[in-house]
Amino acid sequence: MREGLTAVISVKLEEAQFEGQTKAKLGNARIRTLVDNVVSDQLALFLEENPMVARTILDKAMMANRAREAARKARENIRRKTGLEGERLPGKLSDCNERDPSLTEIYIVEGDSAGGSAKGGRDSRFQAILPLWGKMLNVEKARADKVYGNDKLSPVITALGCGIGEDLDLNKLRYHKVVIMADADVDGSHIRTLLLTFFFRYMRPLIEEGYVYAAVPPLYKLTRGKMSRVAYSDEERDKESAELRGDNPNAKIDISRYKGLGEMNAHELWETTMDPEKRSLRRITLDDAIAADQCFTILMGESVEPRREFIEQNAKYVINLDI
Amino acid sequence: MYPQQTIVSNDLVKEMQTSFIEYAMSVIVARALPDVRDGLKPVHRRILYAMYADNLTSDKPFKKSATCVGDVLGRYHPHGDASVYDAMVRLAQDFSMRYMLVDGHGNFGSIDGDPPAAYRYTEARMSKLSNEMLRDIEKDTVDWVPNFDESRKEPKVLPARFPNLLVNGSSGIAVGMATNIPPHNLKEVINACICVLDNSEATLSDLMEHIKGPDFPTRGIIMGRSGIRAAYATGRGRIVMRGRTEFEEHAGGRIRIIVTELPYQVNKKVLVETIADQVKDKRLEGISDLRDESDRNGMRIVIELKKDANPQVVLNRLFAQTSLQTTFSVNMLALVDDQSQPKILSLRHILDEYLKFQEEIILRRTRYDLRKAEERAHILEGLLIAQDNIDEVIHIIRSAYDDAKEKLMARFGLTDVQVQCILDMRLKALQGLERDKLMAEYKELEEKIAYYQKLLGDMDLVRSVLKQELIDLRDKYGDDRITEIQDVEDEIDIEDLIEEEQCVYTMTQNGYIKRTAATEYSAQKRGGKGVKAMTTREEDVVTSVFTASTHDYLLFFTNTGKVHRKKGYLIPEAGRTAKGTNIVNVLPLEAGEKVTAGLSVRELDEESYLVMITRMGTVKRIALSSLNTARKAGIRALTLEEGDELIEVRRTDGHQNILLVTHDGMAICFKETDIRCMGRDAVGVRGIRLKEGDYVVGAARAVQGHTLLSITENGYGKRTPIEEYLRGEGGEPQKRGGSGLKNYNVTEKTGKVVAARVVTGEEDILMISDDGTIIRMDASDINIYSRATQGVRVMRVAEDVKVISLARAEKEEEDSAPLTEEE
Repeated sequence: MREGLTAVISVKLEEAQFEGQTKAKLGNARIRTLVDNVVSDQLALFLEENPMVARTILDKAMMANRAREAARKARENIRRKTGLEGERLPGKLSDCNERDPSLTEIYIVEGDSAGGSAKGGRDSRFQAILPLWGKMLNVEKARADKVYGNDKLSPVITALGCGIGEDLDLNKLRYHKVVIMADADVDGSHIRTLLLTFFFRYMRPLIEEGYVYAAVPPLYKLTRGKMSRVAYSDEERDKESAELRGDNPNAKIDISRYKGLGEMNAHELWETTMDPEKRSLRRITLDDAIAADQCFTILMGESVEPRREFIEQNAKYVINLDI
Repeated sequence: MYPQQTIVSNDLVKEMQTSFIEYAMSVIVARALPDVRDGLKPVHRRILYAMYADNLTSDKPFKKSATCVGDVLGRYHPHGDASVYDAMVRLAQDFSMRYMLVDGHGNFGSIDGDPPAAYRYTEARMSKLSNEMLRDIEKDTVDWVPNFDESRKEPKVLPARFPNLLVNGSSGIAVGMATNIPPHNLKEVINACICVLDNSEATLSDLMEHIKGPDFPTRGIIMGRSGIRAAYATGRGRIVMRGRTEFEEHAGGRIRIIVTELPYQVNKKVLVETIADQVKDKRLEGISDLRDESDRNGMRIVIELKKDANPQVVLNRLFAQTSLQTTFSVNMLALVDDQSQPKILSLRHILDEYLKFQEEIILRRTRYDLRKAEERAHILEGLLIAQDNIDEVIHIIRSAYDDAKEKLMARFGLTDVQVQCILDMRLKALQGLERDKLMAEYKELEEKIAYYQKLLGDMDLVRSVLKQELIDLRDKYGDDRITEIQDVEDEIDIEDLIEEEQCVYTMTQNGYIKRTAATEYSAQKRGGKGVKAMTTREEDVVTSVFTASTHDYLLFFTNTGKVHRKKGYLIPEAGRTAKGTNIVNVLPLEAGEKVTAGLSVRELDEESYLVMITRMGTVKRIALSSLNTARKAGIRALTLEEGDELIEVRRTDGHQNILLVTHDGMAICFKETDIRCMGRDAVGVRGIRLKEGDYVVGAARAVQGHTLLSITENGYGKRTPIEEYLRGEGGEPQKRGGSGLKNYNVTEKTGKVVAARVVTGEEDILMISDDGTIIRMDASDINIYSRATQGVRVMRVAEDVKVISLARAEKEEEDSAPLTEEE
């Protein structure tokens, strides 16, 4: 009986002895066996004859057990991190040299193919790269203990260094810019939603403090002969295209849509997306926590019906439909 | 720092919503769902088109799968190579596709879930039927869209000259929705198409004359038609599929189960492993050995049975507990309106969409043919003129410097195209032009043009062309159905899984109940001491013991007038000495509801009746069959008046006498036919007129030759022959509703009557007093007295202790008749 259950037992006996000043516990050993026997006997009878109550108690106990289990895993995770030499960072992380978190940034990159370009293109003084392969767990649908043990999410947790859930300590956060750099295609969108769900559910202070960003890679590449430009939106593409064309209406301009970050050379990626002198970033802010909570429940949650409704209502607003 | 960088803020909700809807919508319209017209998802369409574009039709030699995968990736489908290869492999698997669209050479995986060989080993080309998916595509029959890098065009949909969506089915999970369409027989689907073409009013029943149901590549058996019908009518339904099995007798008369076909999408290896695991866990019993003997001659899973196993029960358990029976959840979702919208479709809707699309294909193809024919006719007109004036033409060409074209145009009134054709001909060909041949071709073209024009203006003709083309296709590629459909609805009844056996059911005063196999009690000889039938808690006693089959119905009547029906096997089985389970865990009882009577019946037949007796003397008779409602538990059997309780229920055959005994020592015996048979909700009629403060303590069937045992508060009792309750020569019973006869001479000494039962004299009786004392004795030890007597002391009770109840127990459990607790 650890939490949330209360029992009242009335015992009448002579020469009652209590333990301690607070009289929190009865000290007579003799009565213990008696009470034990009577209670277990009668309780078994009661539960047998009141299955509804029995079930409620069982559910409660199982829920408590699951929660304890999750908490234990979390503690173990943290202990392991502080085990050997301070922090053991995930193997895939290409860390930066700078140690001051307010100056550093980490790019969480979709896919190893993009991770390579990002590593080659970064400024290693303050930019760290963490490539993630494939789609990670949807934490909204998963139980807490699954989240702690997930092999896609644990590198993120260790790399950020601040712990998750109730153990989160912003002072330990190793980067003050956590940039999600996903491909500018629909799967990139999906990965972004999955990561944001994780941050919102398990590292909410990161979002509240404005540490989470989305990278804005270009959508189009325009080439005319040796000249090339990039565009970040359809309007920009048309504008750039007109500029490139200049006064020659027949000039052939190649417009290609970037399918993934892996298509770009390392230096292109640096110039277009990562260079802090030129890049643009979207900072993710939390304006209304309740609305956000509902949003995650609808979009990522267990129940399908509200999600379908959302899709049906919003189907017309799609900006970036990809084949 | 870095002032030049742009940082815009975006609210989390907005970021999530935009990202999510982008992903969701593209998965819905461009990844996971098929187009209603060609039944293909983008990746499949691209694979087929890439093969076609590569000239990899069924009459060409095979090419390495790698070529195809590479082409698809490089030209149309910028995603993972594995996903493309997997999709292609599936199109070539004879256990996945009812009609394969890719003709594969090499290892394309197996029904055991073995992976296919890598794409550098396997070879592929289009299958014959696959040609029909693309036939007429070059005739401008479909719309084209640019590919991902706008370097080439790809078809938005394939012409699909056969109804592929239904024929091969589709399954896919998108976001917020999913599709699952089973495969069908080509012949049947085309016949249904023709049915719609012939009669636009065709109903679902008309269509189902042709399409009997899904036709799975793995064969198997579909159980029942209602799920199919629901799926076709609404787009959703559940279809139960079973593998094909047979019993085989072998050495020593032992039986084994042979599985030769599986339900669709069941992995054989996994199935065998599940069976093995369940046998190990003792969840499947009666199986002694399990082998997969499948080889090049076909599938053969051998399940050896133990000698004493009931093959049908084992088989039914296999169906219930393994994927030897699976349910196909039909959800016919596909993209309509040119891939702009997902929609759940009925069978008719799918056929309509398909036929509309095919009409359009024929129109567009005809327009294309017409244009080509007109162009050719135009050229022929020019050639005919040239042929008429061949010498002059040749002269003009020879004499012209570089203006032959203009001169010819001016001289003969020819058009640019015509002249160009003439100029492009070699001299020999030009001279060799034969007027007859030209004329013949021209004639033919004129006819064609006339036909095309007619076709374009006549939709009925278009439909008949479509019909003929479908018929040709059906006759060329159609085959017979391979999945059998059985009428039996046959949801596996749990009963089929449970071997029937006689059990002893025991119930206590406090509501503990259990079931024990009758064989557990069998070992004693007559006159033995008996064995303990149940361990009861203190102050609890067994009130009823009876035997019934596990397949019998047990009827539990409660004090509130409800009856709960349970099959015998639903009562938890427990060992001989176990105390059992409380009835609240078995029946959905309401607070304060208590089981007061129980009966077992084989079936709710028409000939039997139930007579119910309440504390306030009301009796009611209902036909047993009226309890046969869909609700198995908690139906009303009797409406009780305020404060009244149901105390006894007896099963009768319509010719019994009913005996009621009251607290104050009265009794009445009347014919059950005096009680009109009523509906379940009725209140009943008066059985006995009670004096103020009196109430009924017991009731029974008055069987002549037996005795009525009455017991009083103070432990007195007697037995009285049943005949004493009948009057007159022939032993006529009284009419119901009277005050009855004196049954017991109630005095200070005896106290009032607390219980009464009809006994044969061959059983034991148990008496329970309110201090918890129980006494067991032979019923025949109690003396027989006439009605108005005081009886003898049968149980010695202390002052202010009262006898409260009486129960009967068989002397020996062995020869227990159906209901020991009865008369």
